[in-house]
Amino acid sequence: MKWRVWLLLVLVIISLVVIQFQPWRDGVIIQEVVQNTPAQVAGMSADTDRFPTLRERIVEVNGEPIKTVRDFYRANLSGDSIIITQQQRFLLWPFSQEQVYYLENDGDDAGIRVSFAPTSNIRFGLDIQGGSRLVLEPVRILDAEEFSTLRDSIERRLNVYGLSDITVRQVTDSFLGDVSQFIVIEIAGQSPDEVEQLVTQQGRFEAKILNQTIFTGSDITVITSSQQGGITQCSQANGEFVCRYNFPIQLSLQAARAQADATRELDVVGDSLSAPIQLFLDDVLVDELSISADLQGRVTQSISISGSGVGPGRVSAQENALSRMREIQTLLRSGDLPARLEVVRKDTISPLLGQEFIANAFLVALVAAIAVSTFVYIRYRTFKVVIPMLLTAFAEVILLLFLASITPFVNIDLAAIGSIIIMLGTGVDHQIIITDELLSKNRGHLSWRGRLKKALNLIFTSYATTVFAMIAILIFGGGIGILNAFAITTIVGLSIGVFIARPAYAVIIESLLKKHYK
Amino acid sequence: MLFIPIFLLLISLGAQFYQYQTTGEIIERSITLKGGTVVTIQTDSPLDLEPIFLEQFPENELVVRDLLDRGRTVGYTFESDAPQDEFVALIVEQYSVSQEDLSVQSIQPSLSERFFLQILTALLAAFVFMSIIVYITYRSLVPAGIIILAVITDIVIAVGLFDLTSQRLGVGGLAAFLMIIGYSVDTNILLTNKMLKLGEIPLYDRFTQAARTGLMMSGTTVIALSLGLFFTNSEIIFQIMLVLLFGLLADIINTWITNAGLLRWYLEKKGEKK
Repeated sequence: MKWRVWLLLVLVIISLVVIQFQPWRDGVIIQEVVQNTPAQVAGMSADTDRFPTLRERIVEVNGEPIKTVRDFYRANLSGDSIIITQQQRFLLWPFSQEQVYYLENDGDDAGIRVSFAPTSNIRFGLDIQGGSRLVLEPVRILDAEEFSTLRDSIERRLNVYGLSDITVRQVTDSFLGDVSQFIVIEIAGQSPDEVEQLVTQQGRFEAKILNQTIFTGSDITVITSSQQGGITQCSQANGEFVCRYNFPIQLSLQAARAQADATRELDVVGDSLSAPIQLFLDDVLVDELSISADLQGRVTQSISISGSGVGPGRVSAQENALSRMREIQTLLRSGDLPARLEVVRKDTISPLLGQEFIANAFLVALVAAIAVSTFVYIRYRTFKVVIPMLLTAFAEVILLLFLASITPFVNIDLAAIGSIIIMLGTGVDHQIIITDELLSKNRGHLSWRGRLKKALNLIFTSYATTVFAMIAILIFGGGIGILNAFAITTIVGLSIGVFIARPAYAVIIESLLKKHYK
Repeated sequence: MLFIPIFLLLISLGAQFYQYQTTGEIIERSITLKGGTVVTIQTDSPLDLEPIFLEQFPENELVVRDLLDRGRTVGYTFESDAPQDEFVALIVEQYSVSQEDLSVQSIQPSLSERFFLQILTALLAAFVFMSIIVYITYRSLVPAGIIILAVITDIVIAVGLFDLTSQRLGVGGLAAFLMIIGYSVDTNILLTNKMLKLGEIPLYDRFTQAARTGLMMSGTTVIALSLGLFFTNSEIIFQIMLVLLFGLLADIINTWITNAGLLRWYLEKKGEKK
């Protein structure tokens, strides 16, 4: 039986090494660097494929040390800035007005999204780490292939837009025969509105002349060099500013020919043709362009798309125009979605709240541990019971956290906190059962082994009832993952307890208390 | 002795009945289970949002809760079915909240209804599965039936006690009801095991043995939960612990009075038959 104790010890040591608890660590990590921003131009990037404790941390901005996310938010990045990480030094220059035009930037956004530096390798869920979650539902039920395409297209669209630290999941949820499909997008940074805007548009682009479709989004290749395209002019009308943008595209030969054929039929009126080319996005007219007369009947593959943005001032009009342009470019590059999506759930969680939550959780655990230990001591009047109880309960949680560090299937979110509460509560209960059974005075005729066996029987029945209850959740619960995560984490946690920690505890107190028994 | 659990049961049934009369549901649900927006902010401003809210959104409801950290107010949660963007904007403006002190969750009613039903179904299924295991363990209808009855009563009482508080049920609380099933059945199994299988010693001694262990188990958990309630700064954890505490208190009474009493009656009858 002794091997169980060694096994537990070895597992705990491996766990501690892998988890790498470093609660003293401060600073912030780069969660994301947005494309076409001063930060990206300066060479910054997010190293998302590294182990959490090895990621690059920002330690100083403009001479001010950065210890918390709040420090970073307070730093002023609108002028020339120096950002120092533990490995490198970055010089950021804000964009000039011209660059704002060309690089389609949002003005004073330096482009860095941060989160608190991980103090361990434990994977935390969104509710604790901070970030945003969007749950979307397609307007109609899709078949397997379409649904998969939808997911891929969304991911591609978000990548093209410049967001890299995102996860896009497809979830099929069947509840008593009623099937629903959801797309769940989790974003590390906190900009769900941009993402919402981007994914709720189906993105079907059509160009028509006289109500006849000449070409669609799939006929277009967007020229990727962002030096071309930008604001062409701004004007003021009725107290509002309107800025026009423009970017070049390539048409397929077939589409170019179709355009040539269509324009051939038109009459010439002055410098232009009698009908404009109309651009529709998801059946909404976004622009109307007159076709210059010299294009009549010509097969030309290089054309440009333009549109406009409005605002109360020149700068806001420019910003709106640029972000609209960037949006359309993204939609054209990534293609349209098989179905339109509606938002059914939107969460934004600040990383600061999560950090305080963890600190508080530790406090609660500590206080509870002290109180429970005191109570246990009063009952058994020996530390030889209290200490093994504490250590084995502690060991169980470490093992669970180890799993949370190495596999993406277990991560610590609110569901996991619930599981940990169950694990600890059940763990202490079971250990009390074992202790009482082994120390009981009325069983003189049973050997130590015999008593242990009775205790373990009882424990196993209790384990079985809870596990079966969790299995029931897995079968009938469905849900958008959270109940399933809770059920699985609880089953895993309790199994660690019952099969490894409990027997180890029994062995430990056997050797410590053998004389009591005699 | 049985009048204690019966009394408790009647109180909680009464609370639930009252709840049903006033809101149409047995238990009051929070926005996370009904649909709407929940905004959590960290601030020490004592400003009361309600009058300003009612001015802007006369048709919508607002629920405000203080976030306490060891007795001190450190923030608020606001729940409402008002239009999300305007609601959030109002709060940000009134409390001068910065981005990093703000968390927003919004969920469509259709989704949360569905979610709520799913968890309820899971609760029911978990209960049935648990009952099956209990029956297999004892292979006898009466002891197994008594345990199942006790667990049902635990949950019913916990619901009633919850209704007496001003809490609104969220996802965490609902999951906690699930957890009650697991926790409460442990003590009942302990009791039943001891009472049924220790044939050689008197009934009363079997009971006391079981009670010493069982009350110790429940006692440690009650202490841990009570402290947790006081020290935690998370709404969700608070609710989970509160529901568990209610369930556990009900369990202590139901196991050592109800279950024990019924089991004793059953064993005495069985003994007479011999």
